Amino acid sequence: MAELGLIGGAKGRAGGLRRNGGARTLKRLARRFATSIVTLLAITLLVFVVLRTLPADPVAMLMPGNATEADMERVRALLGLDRSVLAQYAIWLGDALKGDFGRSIQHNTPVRVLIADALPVTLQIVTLSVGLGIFLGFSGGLLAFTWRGTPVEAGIEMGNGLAMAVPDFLWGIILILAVGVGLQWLPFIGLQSPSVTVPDITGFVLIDALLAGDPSAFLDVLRHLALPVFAIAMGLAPTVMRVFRSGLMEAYTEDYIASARLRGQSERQVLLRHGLKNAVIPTITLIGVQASMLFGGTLLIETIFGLPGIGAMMVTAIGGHDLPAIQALTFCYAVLVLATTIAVDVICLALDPRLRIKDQS
Amino acid sequence: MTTRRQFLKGTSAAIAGSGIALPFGLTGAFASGAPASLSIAVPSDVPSWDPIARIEPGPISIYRAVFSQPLDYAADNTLGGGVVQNWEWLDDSGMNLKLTLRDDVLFHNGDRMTSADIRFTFLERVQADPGLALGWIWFTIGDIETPDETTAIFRFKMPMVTAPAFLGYLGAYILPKTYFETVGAEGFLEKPVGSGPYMLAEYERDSRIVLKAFPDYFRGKPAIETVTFSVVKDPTTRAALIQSNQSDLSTALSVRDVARLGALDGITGQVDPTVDLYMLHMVNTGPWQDKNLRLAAHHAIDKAAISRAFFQGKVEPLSTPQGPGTPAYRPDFDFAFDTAKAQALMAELGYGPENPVKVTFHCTRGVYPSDYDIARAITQMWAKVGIEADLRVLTVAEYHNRSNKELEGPMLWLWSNATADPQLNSGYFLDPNSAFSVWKSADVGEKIAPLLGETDVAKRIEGFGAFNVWAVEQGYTVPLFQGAVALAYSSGLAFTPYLNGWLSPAEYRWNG
Repeated sequence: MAELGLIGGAKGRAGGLRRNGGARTLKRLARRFATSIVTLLAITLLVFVVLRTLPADPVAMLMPGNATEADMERVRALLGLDRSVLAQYAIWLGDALKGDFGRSIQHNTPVRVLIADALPVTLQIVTLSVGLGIFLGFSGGLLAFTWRGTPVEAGIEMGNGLAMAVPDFLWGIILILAVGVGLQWLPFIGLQSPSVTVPDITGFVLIDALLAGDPSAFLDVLRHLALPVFAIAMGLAPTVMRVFRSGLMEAYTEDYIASARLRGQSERQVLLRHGLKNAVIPTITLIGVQASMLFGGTLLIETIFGLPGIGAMMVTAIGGHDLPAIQALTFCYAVLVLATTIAVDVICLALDPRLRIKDQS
Repeated sequence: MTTRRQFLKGTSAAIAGSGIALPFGLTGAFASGAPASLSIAVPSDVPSWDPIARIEPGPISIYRAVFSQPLDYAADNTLGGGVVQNWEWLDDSGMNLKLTLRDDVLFHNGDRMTSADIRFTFLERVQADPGLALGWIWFTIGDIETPDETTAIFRFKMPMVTAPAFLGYLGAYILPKTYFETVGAEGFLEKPVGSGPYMLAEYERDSRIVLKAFPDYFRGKPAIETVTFSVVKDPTTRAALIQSNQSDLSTALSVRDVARLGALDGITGQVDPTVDLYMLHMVNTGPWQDKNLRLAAHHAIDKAAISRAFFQGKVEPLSTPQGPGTPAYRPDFDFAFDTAKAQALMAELGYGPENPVKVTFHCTRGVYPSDYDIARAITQMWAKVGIEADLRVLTVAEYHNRSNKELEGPMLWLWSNATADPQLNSGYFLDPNSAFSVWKSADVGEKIAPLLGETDVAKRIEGFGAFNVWAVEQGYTVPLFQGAVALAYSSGLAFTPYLNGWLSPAEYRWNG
């Protein structure tokens, strides 16, 4: 009975710890969320001030050649650019909290509408790129680990080193020249062929093609996305491969691997039950950091491949000194990066009990 | 003889037709070039499908395919009738312009165009929304009278002798009043309706614009049924598109790429001079206030050599800011490339190659074809006569911000003006009252003021011709050479070049 009581007490404490741990984890996430909000505000303020102090005049780029100084002042006032920077920021922030990011100077269209059109394109590209990058990274890592100490590992390592040395935009150009122009296997511009029409249902053209029940359109879009997605994925895959392989190597020096073998588990079981589980956690943290950076890579890749995402939109906005668009896009990028970071935190907390124990301690 | 491109098209079609497909559907990658369709790669999208909201020279070719303008520039850059069949000034005040419209112009929705649409576009909309850029050009309009359905009389608040030129240029796209008022501004953006040769069929912002031929176009249905503009910002990618047969026409390429592409079977590469002009905006500050320095700087530039080096010699060196074939062009005036004369002028100032004057020189980089390379070449030419230039790169936005107040030295610039009207060239960039003039001096103001209100076209053009010669002799501006458009297209396409660089797909057709 006493033994049972002890066990029952231990179980109760464990349950209490789990509940406490859960509350603390939530608290940690809430803190993380709050920090992100402050970071976001700081970024918007910084970008706003920097943009307004740059020696460049957006109004001058809009006006016809016969404009006088008086005309310029009139339009400046119309666009609210004649007020103090802080007054402009306060107005912008108030409107932004209501979801109104102002009108694009270049397009005379609400920036919200422009971003709503462009964001799904970028999200599709980044999601597919992360997926492909993870697949290639894990596959390469696993292959190199399985064939460790052989010429296969050396070959994979060498290929990985080369891949790491090539930036994503250069991958884009290489792929266009080799696969698009040389072999003429895949299209390299836009989202679909001129003859293909996909109804706009969700804004995500791949999903829309499926919803429309048009597999040929789906395949066409996939073919158009193949090269840019591969180019961006190559910014992720080599690093994932390297960290994953190191994680496996490290895990295999631990005692629990030897214990598992002594318990008679096969190499496959050891790998699946112990090796992968422990190697994957640092890799996921790395993927989170890298995935955030991939959003930045879309600026050049979308421009090179003529994709109408927020990256290409940012390049156009910067060229035209379209302040409301640049401001909103920066906000958008910051939200995406911070959301990715929080998502990775959540995943890591879910996968790694050690992190939850740290919280409790 | 079968060309490489024809072979690829044929092979692709044969494989697809026989049902043999490579994994991942690799065979259907290159589908452009069907006789009824045309794919054009351009560097920029339209800013908005409200064509009067923003005015930019870049998307004019796309807008002109969908919307009609009152007047129109032909391939040789002569201004002629479009929707308006006749126009005349009612007096010599430059304030009363009468337009007579054709009575057979239909909008894409079947509505007939009337003078009410002209009034709606140029007056009612711009008065209702001061944010529309068209109003920043046409703020001079006091009223537009519409005595009948084919007559519109513009009553200006001040002389606007350039009105006919602007009626065929930036932002002058006629909107359908009834349709616009029915669907509203948002509805119009969703489904724009014009009266141009093509109707908008599909649009993906910053990606592609699919147009279908308008059967009731007042000049007749275009020969090519479907035109797709692909927005491709990167010039290397535009070149790769034509090379891989994914576009039939790629424009705004580098001259180097055009030479390379032109050497391939089935592709024609072309560098065409335009009415735009490369020039140096001169400044009235520091050492540049000295006339001798300005003239020496001009004499030192070997424009023909630069044209040969960067434009295959296709662009003509200019002595005044008007090119061949444009009004106010002065072939009788030659400002010579003369290093000895430049050195003599510099010697008078006490400078020479061993003892150079130090100046600042500005340019853009990658904004216009060969801009930075041209500026570097000029810097080297100046060094030979005793001008040591510190070359600084500015963005377009930076230039606009500093153009009339803080620019320390001349600026290399491509002045874009598809009308080639001299008033929209030197009449703007030398007018001291213009926000965009860099050189500002009282004597220019005195000389230019009478020309700005001159309603007699012949007198105005002649006056500007003389004014331009005077301005160059004073060193107030340094014209360099014509602008250029570098493009490549499928050799099967009957392409019509426009002197102002516009693309006009309604006039193209496939040979054979």
